[in-house]
Amino acid sequence: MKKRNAQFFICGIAKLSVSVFFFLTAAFISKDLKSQTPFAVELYHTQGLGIPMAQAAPFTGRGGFAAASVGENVQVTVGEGGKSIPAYYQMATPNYGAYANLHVIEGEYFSDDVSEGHAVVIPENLAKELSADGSGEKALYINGTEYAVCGVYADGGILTQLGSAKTPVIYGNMSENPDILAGHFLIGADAGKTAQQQKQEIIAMMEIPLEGEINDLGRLHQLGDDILLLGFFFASLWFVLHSCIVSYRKFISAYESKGNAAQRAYTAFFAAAVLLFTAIGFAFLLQLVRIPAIYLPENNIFDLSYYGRQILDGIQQISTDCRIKDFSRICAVYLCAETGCTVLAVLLFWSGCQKLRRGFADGNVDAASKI
Amino acid sequence: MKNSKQFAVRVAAALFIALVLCTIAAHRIETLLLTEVRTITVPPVIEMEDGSIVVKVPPASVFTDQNGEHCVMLVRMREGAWGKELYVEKTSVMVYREDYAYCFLEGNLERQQLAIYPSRNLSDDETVRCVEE
Repeated sequence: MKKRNAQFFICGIAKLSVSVFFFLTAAFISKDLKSQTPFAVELYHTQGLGIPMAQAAPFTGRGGFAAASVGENVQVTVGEGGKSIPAYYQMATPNYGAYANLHVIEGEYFSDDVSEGHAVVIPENLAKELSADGSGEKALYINGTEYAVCGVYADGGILTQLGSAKTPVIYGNMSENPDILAGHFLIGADAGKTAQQQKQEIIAMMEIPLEGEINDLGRLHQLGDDILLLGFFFASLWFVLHSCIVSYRKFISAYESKGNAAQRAYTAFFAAAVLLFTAIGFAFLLQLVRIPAIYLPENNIFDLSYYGRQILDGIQQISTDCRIKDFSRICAVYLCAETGCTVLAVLLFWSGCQKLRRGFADGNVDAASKI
Repeated sequence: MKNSKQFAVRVAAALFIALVLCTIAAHRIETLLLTEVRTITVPPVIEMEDGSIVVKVPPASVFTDQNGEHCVMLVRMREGAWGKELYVEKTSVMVYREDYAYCFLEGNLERQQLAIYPSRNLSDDETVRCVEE
């Protein structure tokens, strides 16, 4: 009997340890998704938003957004007569690096001293090509024109993969050609506002109609956190359900017991106390479920068709051959991986708790039989 | 007879516990489904050149009702079935002047709480929940 108890304990602790590992993995994935994704709402149009960069730039400071020009596919030559690499070139406002969550690992994102002239910020993989050239010069040629490299940002940012996961994205200084059309805005996300509201605010501030598709990139940060919290909620439900079972058994025991009235009253009181604590715990636990109202159906939380539509829209976005296809797929992989880890963690947590409980229960039976 | 009575008691106890849990969950769901708003506190009044008393608020806090008139939604507190709850009270206002950044409203709304950025259209006397900052 003791050997069996030890088996239950070891198995339970092992399962709980693996469960903690999966929870930590889910938290790591969520953190990584946040570090790779801008906390912003993107307003985008392939043909440009209809205003030149020079007109948008003065509003960027007070409007809480950054702007980048319409991009173009270019050929980058590393060194004179070096090999040619296809790339995507965009001019951006000086605050763009912060909004796009670019992790600059070398140099800086358009400092004051490079506000004029041909300066670019390039991705890490392109910088490696430059280093491999061996010339030691921090310069490259875009469509034959020489540019100085003022910063290098880390690969892997999701926004740089909006166009293509493989083509390197080079950011140029907007002062180079202020008349070029703005291609997209990155508006600092606000959890309390919808993406549409934020777009309307920018339009109201600039007093210019802006047409374009909206990608709510900031929503991903919220989703990552919500999945984790839901995981904790479902894991902790084990305690709630088990306390309910204990309470139920005590109530029935008080009713069916042949003992004296005082003993029965004590058992009933104990059952009621357990139920009360369970109810309070459950109410606190439910506070972990935090879903912004804008993502819920209007009147009925069990409106399955609404959730079905949301999932179908997501799948459609992933499979549609559009600009954000890569982005949607990457996000879907991140979120599915996090959800998978969380589900596994919850199942293992429940199973581990159950094993421990059986270990304790058997121990009690053992002790009782000895008595 | 005894067995059926025991069975009825067991079912009743199970149902009672399930009902307690469902009631708590229902309360949370009801809270989640409320219209979500942010609030701002109206700053002190400003006296304009012509002597008008106005308050300066963000344009997002001024709504237009079904008659096309401007109004603000004051956030109030009242006693509900589950304790204190927040609700909005529609108040018509006159816009003195407005630009893209601010709206100047006539009248004294100083230190009142106004609802902004609701997740859905607000109606008078509607119970709301504030976004956790």
